[in-house]
Amino acid sequence: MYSQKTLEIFKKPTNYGTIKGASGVGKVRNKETGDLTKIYIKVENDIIEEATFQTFGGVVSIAAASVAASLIQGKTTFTAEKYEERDILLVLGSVDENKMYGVELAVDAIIAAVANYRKKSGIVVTPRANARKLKNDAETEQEEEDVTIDSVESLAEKLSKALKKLKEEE
Amino acid sequence: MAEKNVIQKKIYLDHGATTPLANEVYREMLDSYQEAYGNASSLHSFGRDASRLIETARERVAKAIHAKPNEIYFTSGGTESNNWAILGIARANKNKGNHIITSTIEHPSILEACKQLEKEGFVVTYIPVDQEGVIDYAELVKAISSKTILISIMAANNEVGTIQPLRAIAELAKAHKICFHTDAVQAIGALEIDVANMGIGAMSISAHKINGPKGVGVLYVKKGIEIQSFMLGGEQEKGLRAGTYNTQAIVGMGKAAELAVSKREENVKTLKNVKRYFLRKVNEVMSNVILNGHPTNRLPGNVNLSFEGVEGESLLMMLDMAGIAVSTGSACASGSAKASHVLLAMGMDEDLAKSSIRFTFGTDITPTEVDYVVEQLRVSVKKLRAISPIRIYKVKGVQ
Ligand SMILES: Cc1ncc(COP(=O)(O)O)c(C=O)c1O
Repeated sequence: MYSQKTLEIFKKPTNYGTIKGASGVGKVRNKETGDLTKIYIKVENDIIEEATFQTFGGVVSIAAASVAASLIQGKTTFTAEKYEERDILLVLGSVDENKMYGVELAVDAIIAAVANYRKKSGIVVTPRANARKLKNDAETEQEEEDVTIDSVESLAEKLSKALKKLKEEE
Repeated sequence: MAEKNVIQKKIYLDHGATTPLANEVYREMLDSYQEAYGNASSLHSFGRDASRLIETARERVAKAIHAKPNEIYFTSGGTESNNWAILGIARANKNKGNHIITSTIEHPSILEACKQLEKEGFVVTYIPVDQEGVIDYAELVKAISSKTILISIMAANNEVGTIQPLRAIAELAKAHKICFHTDAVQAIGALEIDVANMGIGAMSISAHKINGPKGVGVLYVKKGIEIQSFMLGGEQEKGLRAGTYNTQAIVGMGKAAELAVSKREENVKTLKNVKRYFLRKVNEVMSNVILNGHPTNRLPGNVNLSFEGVEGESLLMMLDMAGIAVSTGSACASGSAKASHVLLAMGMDEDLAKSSIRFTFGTDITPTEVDYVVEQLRVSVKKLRAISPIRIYKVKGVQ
C-alpha cells in the first residue's frame, strides 16, 4: 500500500512547522478528501533560504510535503516551481493511484507559495517562466480563524459528561 | 535494552471490522469439515448428516433472537442479508406501495440497495440523525405514508456505535402495518433483540462480527412477510436463496450466535469497564479530544474519538507502526480518505470528521495494554499536531 520510503519519511518528516515572517505561504486543499498542505518559504535574492510544511492529511500527503519542503530548500524560486509530481515520486517510490492527490498537493503548495511570495513582493514574471496550473484549490490565509474557544469547550464538555454518566451507571 | 529490539505484542482494536474466531466455533467447524462433507441437499446419509448440522445451526440462531427456525435464512453475510431484505421485500410488495424509509447513517449495503430501488421507481426517504447519531423520530413519523412498504433502520451504528430506539420504531411500523427491517450486524453481540416480542419483520446478522467465520450470515424474515428470492436455481432455503449450503460456515454461524447470547452479559460488562478505563486515561493525558456518538446509549466496545487537528488515516498508520490496529470510519470505506458519511450526517465539521478514529475493543484486552495504547496515542497525536496546519485552542480533556 505504501512504499517503505514513504512510511519512513511519514514517520520522521523533516522541515515541518511554520516560518515566522515567511516571504511566501502556499495553502492548498484537495476538495475531494479535505487534505490540506501548507508550504512556507523564506526567500532572499530569489533563493529559498528556508522551506517548511504543514499538512493535515494522510500518510502520502505528509511524506510528499516533507519531500517538497526539503527539495526546494536552497533553490531559486524559478527552479522550485518547476518541480513536478515525478520529482517527488523519485524520492517516495511508488504511490497508489488513489493517494496521488497527496503528491499533487505538495507540488501545488510549492507553486502557491512561490506565487504568494511574488505577489507580496511585487515581482512579475513572464508567462513562460510560470509553473503549471494548480490542480487543487488554493486558499488564502485568514489572519484569525473563526474557531471560538466556546465551541471547542462545548465539545470537551461532552466527553466529560459522558464520563460522568458512565460513572453513574455503575 | 533499547525499546526497538523488543517485539511489541500486537493489539487488535478493530472488532467492529471483524472479530477473531472463537475456539468453540473453530472446533465445531473443524469437526464438521471431517464428519459432514456431504451436500446437505443430498438424500443419502452423507447429505442427511450435513443437513442435520445446518438445522441445529438454524435452531441456535432462532433461539438467539427469539424467532422460529423456519424464519431463519442463511446468507453469505451481512451485506447479502441487507441487500436481500431491501431489494427482496420492496420488490415483492410493489403492489402495496413504492415508498421506503431508511436513515442517512446506514451501512453502504443498505444505502446502495436503496439507490438501486430508486432507479426502479421506488421513492426512498432518508431520515436524518442528531449530533449523537440517533434518528429523528419525529421525522420518521412524518415520513410514513400510505405508500410506505418498508422501514429499515439499523439497530446500532458500526462507526459511532449509537444504538437506535428499536422498540419504538418497531411499534410505529407495526401500528402502520409496515414491515420493519433492522441491520443488527453490530448490535447482536451487545443487545438482546427479541424479534417476536418487538415485532421485527426482518433482521440481518453476520457471523464474523460475533467471533464466527467470515462469509456467512442470516436474514431473519418473519413468517408472512413477502420477500422475493435472491438466488435462483435451487430449492435451498425454500427456494428463496439457492446454492449448495456452506455447511461449515453455517455451523460456525450457529455456534457464534449461541455464544454471543450466552456470553453477552459478561462481555458487555467487561467492555464497559474497558471503555471507561480507556476514556479516563485519554482524558488524563490528552487535550482536544471529542467523543463521537451517543455518550452512553452506544455499543459497549465502541469508542469513536476525534483528535482535533490530526487526520485519521495518519493517526491510524502511526498506531499501526506501534502494533495497534484501529480504524477510521468503517473498514469498507477506509480505502478512500473521505470523511465518514455517518459523522457528516451527524452534523460534524468536515475537518473534525476526518480526524476520527474508531476503537472497537475485545474482551481480552488488559489494563496494561490500554495504558500502552493511550501512551502511543498521546505520542502520535502530539507528533501529528506538530505537523498540522490546523490551529487548535487547547482544552484539557476533562475540565
Ligand atoms: C452495520 C453493518 N452492516 C452490514 C455489514 C456487512 O456485513 P458483512 O461483512 O458480513 O457483509 C457490516 C460490516 O461491515 C456492518 O457493520
